[in-house]
Amino acid sequence: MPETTPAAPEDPEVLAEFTARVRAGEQIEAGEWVPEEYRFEALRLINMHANSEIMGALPEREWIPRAPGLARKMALTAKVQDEVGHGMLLYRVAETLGRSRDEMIAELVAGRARFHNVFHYPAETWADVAIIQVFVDGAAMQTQGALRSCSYAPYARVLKRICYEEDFHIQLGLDVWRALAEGTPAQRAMLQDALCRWWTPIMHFFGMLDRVSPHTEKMLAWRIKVKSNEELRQQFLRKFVPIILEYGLDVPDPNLRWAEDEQRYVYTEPDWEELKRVGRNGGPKSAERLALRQRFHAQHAWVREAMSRWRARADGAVA
Amino acid sequence: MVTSAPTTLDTAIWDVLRSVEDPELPISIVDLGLVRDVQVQDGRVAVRLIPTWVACPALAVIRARVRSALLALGGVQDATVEYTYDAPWTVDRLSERGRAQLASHGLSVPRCRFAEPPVCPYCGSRDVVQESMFGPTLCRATYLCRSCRNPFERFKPPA
Amino acid sequence: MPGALAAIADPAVRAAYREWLLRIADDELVIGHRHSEWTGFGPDIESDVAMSSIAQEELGHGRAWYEQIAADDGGDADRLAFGRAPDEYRHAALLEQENGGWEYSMIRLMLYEAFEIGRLRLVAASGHEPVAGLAQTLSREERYHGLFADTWLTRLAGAAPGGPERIQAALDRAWPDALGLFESTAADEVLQRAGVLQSSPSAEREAWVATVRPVLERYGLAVPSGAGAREGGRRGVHTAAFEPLLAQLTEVWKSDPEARW
Repeated sequence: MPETTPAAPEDPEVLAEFTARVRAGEQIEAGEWVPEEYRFEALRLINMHANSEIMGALPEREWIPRAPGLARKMALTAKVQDEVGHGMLLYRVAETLGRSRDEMIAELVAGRARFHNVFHYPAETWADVAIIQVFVDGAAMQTQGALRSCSYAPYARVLKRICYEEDFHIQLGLDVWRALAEGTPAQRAMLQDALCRWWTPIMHFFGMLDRVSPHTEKMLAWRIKVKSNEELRQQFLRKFVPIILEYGLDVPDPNLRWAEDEQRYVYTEPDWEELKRVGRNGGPKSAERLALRQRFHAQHAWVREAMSRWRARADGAVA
Repeated sequence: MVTSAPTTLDTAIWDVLRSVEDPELPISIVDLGLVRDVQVQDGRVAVRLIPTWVACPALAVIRARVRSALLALGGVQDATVEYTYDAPWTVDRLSERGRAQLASHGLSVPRCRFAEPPVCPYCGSRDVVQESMFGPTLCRATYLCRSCRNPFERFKPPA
Repeated sequence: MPGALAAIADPAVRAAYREWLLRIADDELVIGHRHSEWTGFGPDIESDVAMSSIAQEELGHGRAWYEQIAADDGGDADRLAFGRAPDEYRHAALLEQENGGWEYSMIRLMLYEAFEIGRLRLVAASGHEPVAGLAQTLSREERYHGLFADTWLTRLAGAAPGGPERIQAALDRAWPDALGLFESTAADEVLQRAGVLQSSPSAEREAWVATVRPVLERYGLAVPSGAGAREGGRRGVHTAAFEPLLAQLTEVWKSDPEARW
């Protein structure tokens, strides 16, 4: 069990000093005193990020056995491996904020934890791989790229490496995208279909418009949040809508347009009820993917038991 | 190969190679030690590269980047880029500058053998534990520093 | 770049060597496919990541061998890997079996890696470039795979409730298939006679048993006795596990083999 930060009384002066430090751009190292609310929010963010990497492996892994070509098969295996590897790093960082990895994973497997909305949807065809690698990863890059300047140093460090790798995934994804977009009519149709199915989940990904609230203010002041949801969505659209148009595919929102006067994209408001439902593990693939996780978790109970006995024995030998 | 003084084109070619980065790491392929040799004849350039790991998904990307960078160079009519297996890639192929770049990216690099005791790239502590021999990419293993509690990765050459 | 085959003048030897290299490539492709099925479902995150690495490496090695063959055939690696009929594949039965439990995958990994190291040594000793250099490069990568399997088997045998029984059952299941790795065909004889290979499948098999026996005994396992080799793979005769594997492997690629994917 990782040690938790001792519950210090939150003296308003100490709190103000903490906020001022962070506001001035200082970063917090593992084990330093943080306000309870900061710890809670940072942990929630990193824990959910870690969960999402682990669950995010599932839609794409379905296409590893069927990937068309050796290079594609290796690249996709490598890509999914990266996601799982990111999960490994992120759980380690989350642990420094006071929860054990085993506890977080048990909660995830039991269906009591959250993970990003996009990973609750099916990956129906090979073209979904292109959409996930370019657009879903592209969306994630906006959020994670911004968080590289967050106040929790171990998270910021890991994000720096993660973003480097995500950028490579997007490059690999664009290669799949190009092959399909410049391919046969059937390949193009497959790509357009996948894009249409993924559009709403991707628009959802950034979340609803932030309400102006003391909570949001505090998250921004503490740099656990760096940019608003809408800022990130606009950033994504500016970068990725041109790719769709460049290859002559249709943006799946007939109302989407660039508003020159406002310097932003105008789009159809997605159905936010769906996002809420999906967020509560009520998406089209939530149950099936959780059931898969549970099946393997149960199948490997004896393997985990062997590992913990082995570790206990090794620790005993050291002590 | 002609062993005369490097021509302007030779110099330009090496400058171009130094500008090509590994797609997954902030390091040039020259500093990473991937370039085995370069031959130039009548504007035709043949580059041989050594893969760190044979199955690395970045190999094709690197090859394409090198080729297009060379073709963009005035005086280059054609360029071929091949991987060769006649010499193994080892960590001593890394340049000092490359090592420093990898360290600042949070990647620890063994001096010459993977079996050396690892050091945390963030705080310099030796109180580290290997989490997995296999990291997020083929060429890295993962560790946890028990001093500063940062997870980090370490370059893993083929055994 | 010409492959290894171009340098061989005698067409019969060349054909035999092609057949032999195809075995290596097919073994690696099929086991790489099976290993990659663990991606996302390993017993812990570290092993999940590790199996993905091992899978990629096997697939990458498979590709490197296909490229050697394709260089002389004038085809390409993907067409060899994805475009053949089931009876044109030359891998052994061990590689195509379903993953089953983690213990089976680890036992198979251990048995196969010990075999693979021996086979690569044989190719490296053949003196035929560029395959000899390739074999040397690949064996440096394969070493980590064996270490991984050993770490796991030591733990499972030493600390798991019911571990030794489970691993023994996995070993009993894998053993006849593993012996099938050494199936001998006319190609082996031709290559030996021509001096391309310095050893026979039966000698290799003996050396392999001598290597794996003490390791298995260290885990507390008994080497199955009396079980014969399950052969056929090297002649293109496969078990029931292969057709569904191949169908899945080639599902998208075969939907339009002329398309660029």
